[in-house]
Amino acid sequence: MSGPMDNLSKAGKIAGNLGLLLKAERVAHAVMKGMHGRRRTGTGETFWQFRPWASGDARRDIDWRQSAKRDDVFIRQTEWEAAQTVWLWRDGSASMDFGVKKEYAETLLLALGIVFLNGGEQAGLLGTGLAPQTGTPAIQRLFEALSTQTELAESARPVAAFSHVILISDFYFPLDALRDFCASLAARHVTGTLVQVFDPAEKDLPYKGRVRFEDIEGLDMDAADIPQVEAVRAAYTQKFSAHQAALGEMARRFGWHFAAFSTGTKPEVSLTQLCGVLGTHA
Amino acid sequence: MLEGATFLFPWLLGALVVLPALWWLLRVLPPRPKTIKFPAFFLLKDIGTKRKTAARAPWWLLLLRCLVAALFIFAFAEPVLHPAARLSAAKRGDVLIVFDNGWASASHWQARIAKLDDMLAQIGRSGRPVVIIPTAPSAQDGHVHSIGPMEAEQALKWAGRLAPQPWPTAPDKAAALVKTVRPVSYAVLFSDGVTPDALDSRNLLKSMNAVVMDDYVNTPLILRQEDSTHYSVERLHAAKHAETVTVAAYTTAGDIADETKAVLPAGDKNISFTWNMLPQVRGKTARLVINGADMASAVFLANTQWRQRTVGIIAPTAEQQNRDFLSGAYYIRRALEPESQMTVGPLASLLKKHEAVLILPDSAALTMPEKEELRHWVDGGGFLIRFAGPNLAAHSEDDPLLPVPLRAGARAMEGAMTWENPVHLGAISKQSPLYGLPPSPDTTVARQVLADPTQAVFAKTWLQLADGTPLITGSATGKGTLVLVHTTAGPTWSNFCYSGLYVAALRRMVSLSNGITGYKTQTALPPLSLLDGFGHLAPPDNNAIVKNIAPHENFFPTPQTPPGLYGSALDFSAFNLGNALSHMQPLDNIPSAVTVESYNKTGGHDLKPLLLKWAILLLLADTLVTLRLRGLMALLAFLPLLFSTPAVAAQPPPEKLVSGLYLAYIKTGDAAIDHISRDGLEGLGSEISLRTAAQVGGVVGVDPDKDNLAFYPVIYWPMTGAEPDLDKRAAANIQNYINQGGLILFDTSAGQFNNAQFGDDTGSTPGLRALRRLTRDIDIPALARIGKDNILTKSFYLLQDFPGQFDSGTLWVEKEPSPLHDGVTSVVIGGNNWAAAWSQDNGDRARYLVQPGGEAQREMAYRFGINLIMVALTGNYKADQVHTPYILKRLGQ
Repeated sequence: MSGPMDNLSKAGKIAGNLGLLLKAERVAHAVMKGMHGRRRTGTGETFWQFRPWASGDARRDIDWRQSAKRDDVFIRQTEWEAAQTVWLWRDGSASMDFGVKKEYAETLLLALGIVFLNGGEQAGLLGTGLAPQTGTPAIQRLFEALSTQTELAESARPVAAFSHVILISDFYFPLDALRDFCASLAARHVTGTLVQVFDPAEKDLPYKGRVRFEDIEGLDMDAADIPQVEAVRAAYTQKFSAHQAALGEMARRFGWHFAAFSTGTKPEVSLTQLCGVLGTHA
Repeated sequence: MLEGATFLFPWLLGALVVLPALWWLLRVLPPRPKTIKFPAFFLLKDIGTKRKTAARAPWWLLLLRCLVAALFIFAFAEPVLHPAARLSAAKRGDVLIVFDNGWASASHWQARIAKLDDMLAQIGRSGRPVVIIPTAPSAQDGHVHSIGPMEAEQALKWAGRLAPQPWPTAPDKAAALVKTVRPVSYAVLFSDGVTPDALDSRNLLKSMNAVVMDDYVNTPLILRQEDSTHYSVERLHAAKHAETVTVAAYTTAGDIADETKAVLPAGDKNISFTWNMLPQVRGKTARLVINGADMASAVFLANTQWRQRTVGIIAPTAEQQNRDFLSGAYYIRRALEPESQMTVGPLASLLKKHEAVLILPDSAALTMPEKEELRHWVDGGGFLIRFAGPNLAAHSEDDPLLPVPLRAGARAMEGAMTWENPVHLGAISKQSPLYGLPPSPDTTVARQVLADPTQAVFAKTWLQLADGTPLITGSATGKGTLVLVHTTAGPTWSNFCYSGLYVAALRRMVSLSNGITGYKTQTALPPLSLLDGFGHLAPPDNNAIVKNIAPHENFFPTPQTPPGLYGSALDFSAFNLGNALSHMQPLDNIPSAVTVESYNKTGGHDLKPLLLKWAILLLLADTLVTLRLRGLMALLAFLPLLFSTPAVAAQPPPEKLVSGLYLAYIKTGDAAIDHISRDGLEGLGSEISLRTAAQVGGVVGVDPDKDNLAFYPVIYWPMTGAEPDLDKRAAANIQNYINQGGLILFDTSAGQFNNAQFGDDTGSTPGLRALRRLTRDIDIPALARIGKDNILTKSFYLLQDFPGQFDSGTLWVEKEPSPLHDGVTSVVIGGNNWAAAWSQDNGDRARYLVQPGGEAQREMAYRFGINLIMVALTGNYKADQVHTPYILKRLGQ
């Protein structure tokens, strides 16, 4: 039994959540407008292109109606009909709660989802029970399932071979676990993209004087008491860059891609860059 | 600085030994750093651990904190700087304090008591008993007592109940008492600076070690009434700087009815000033008070004669009913009717009723014994106004009721046997009590009785004809005044009785009367309401020894006869302290053996508050430093938000002025007048917002020299007479304002009664003179009296006159308003002190008494104000209605 109040609160919740989705759509559209020449094929459409029959083509691929109109025999190409599956993941851990990183990551994820679904691809969420979705309206289901996504792991639905994985996180953890995970995927011919989202403060360490740093995830109980932050800034920036370089290096080893975005850049800009990276792959 | 400081709790200083421990502790425990929860912590961890040693607080911070702690320790040890050496515990014996608590001590009484408390606290520290002798005789038994010996705590409690008495001190009795107190280790006199007897005070001073007196605390003021319109203020010292005192007239209800200012010039102790109050203001006045001086000597109480100007018209009984237009009594009644209580009757009954003024028209023939009786009444303080006529002309010899000797017979200037024409009135000389009344050019006198033209007559002439013969003469006789009008009270000999001057002169004369304090039949008046030392009236205390007072008695304030009101509630006499006091004699020639101290509490300075203040300031500084070290200075950006208060009287920014309706007044530089202007316009503004569609945003005081006047539709400009001349820039600014269509309301009254008309060239009021002087450089268009169909009479309310606090004189407006200004006058000039009538206090209650019409007149004043603003806002919009009667007439045809 749902009373009017329940409906109302539900509606409010949906409206509130829709903000993120709308933002993602806006971001995605900015990208799609910019991608001239991309052909869109939906799952409902059967036609991609006709090609004159050549030796080796299966007989059942011949489109008889088309062939009857012309002199040659045409086959109906279905290679593009099989949409690629893209698995998306964003880091939901406490470290993403610093600044607007989590919101930024989710915007990016949903915008990518919209772009892929619009392009006729299948999109799924890593680590959730949700099956890969097709069709533009399915973004709503992705959006609803997003809050259940936590750990970086394959869940009940394993990542199929020749899929693509996009991992969005700050990657502030030792790379060994990530490397193992990526290696297991790469072994199945799964390609991937590592997208690092970071706060400008994490890169520049703009603090002054004596500061006591604590781990935001609470994993490390010790605190780093730095008497003069200015003094360690150079060393820190160096370490940060090294970490990014290590991530990029690891991605390249698997044949994957790596991109890093500060939350200071507009999500539209980030998405355009990201699509550029993915486009070369596709 | 700490030389001579002693500590009340020296053992507390032992706490200083913990300071090194504190130093060590603070060093070990550094200030808490700023903490940040950081995502990329694993990157930082290795860097952070490189310098694991805890940072130490900088040495200067340690020093600061130790200093704070030391200050607190010192403060709680209660150091006292320079405890009076004489009071220190070296000598034993009683401490004697002789404390002046006579009338003069009421000035800065709190400072005296504070000093006394301070000294008692010092005595308490030395643990000695104290004896106090107040020098004013006690209200309970009329004697001077010594109180004590007692402990200082007890003396402190007793000092809290000490109050100034409204009578002089008795230094002789105090000196006698001082000799009975033995043994005395230290004696001090708290002087009020005034001595009733220099010799007695010297005797008293001889047995003193010290005297406390200074010219800042001893500032007594005395207000005296010299005669019915002259007052004087006296101060103790002829100071180097001039001092302005404001004297206010209060009604019984406590409203201010009138105010005047007197300037005590530099180097002078006395100032005598004239105060011509409106008769009706005077009638409501209960007391005159020097503002700010809470002293019995600065209060002048009015007696019943002030309140009720009862006037008796002497007439035979038959004429009481006679309303004949030819009868003199009829015109006298009509002239005085609204204000004065009048009785018409035979002399015998009027004398019994203690009238303030008796008027004797010629028709009432008196016998010689009756005249003698009346003369006796005048000598006793009565005020007689006598009118001439055929009776007097026939029997003027040996008449005891004449101010000047008369020639026999009357002078006739109109009739079958004369060539002369009736004579017009002449100018009123400045010495005349009638000076300042409106002239009456149409009045002519056809017959008069003539005074013997001696030199003395000129001095006694109050009003003369154009040919120099007197029309009204008056002279003081005994305590009273005798006035003769040399023509009839009715129209028989002259048309004087039809003129406004007749009314004004009669009213002025009635207001001059003193009332007859000496003509009472009562022999002893019981106390009704008595002044305390601070000049507040209170019913007599049952424990006091106040006696009844005889009306003839030469009043001197004593505990038995304190100043105040005596008699019954309906008919009382005032016995005033100021008038009973002789000129103040300052206490001087202090013997060299006596040290003079001031009332400042420097004697034994308690350092505790000072030390605590510094400790807290340093603590605050420490907090700031700590915040800075922790990088939290950004928090301080919010501090100004906490402490910023909206500026109260600040001028709103121009964009605000443009968006709303703001009323403006010109700042005169006189704070009191500016305050009235501001209050008045605020009161008017709230009425406008309440009654009309216009919403007043606020009131702004402007300075024509600096401010842009273009924002204000109307500017109210009160004239005080003391303004400096306008400089060129200010004049140009005002000229520009007028040319651009602004409207200025000039108010020439400035709190002073003004009944001279604007057209009068003598320019008798300071406000008018100021107006002429200030507008010299401003081109004000030709003026005319306001017409009956002027737009001001109908822009919102239909009005016929425009009263303010007063209702006198006419309103002057521009004769031919420029069509450029929508036919609206650019100046309105009058002298009714509108702001005072408009002003309201916080409870929307009217603040100033409005005369003579009371609340109805105040309502009219508001209506005038609203009309004025409406004219300024809507121009001649309503002027169309001027033609309505003609339009209706034509439509009818």
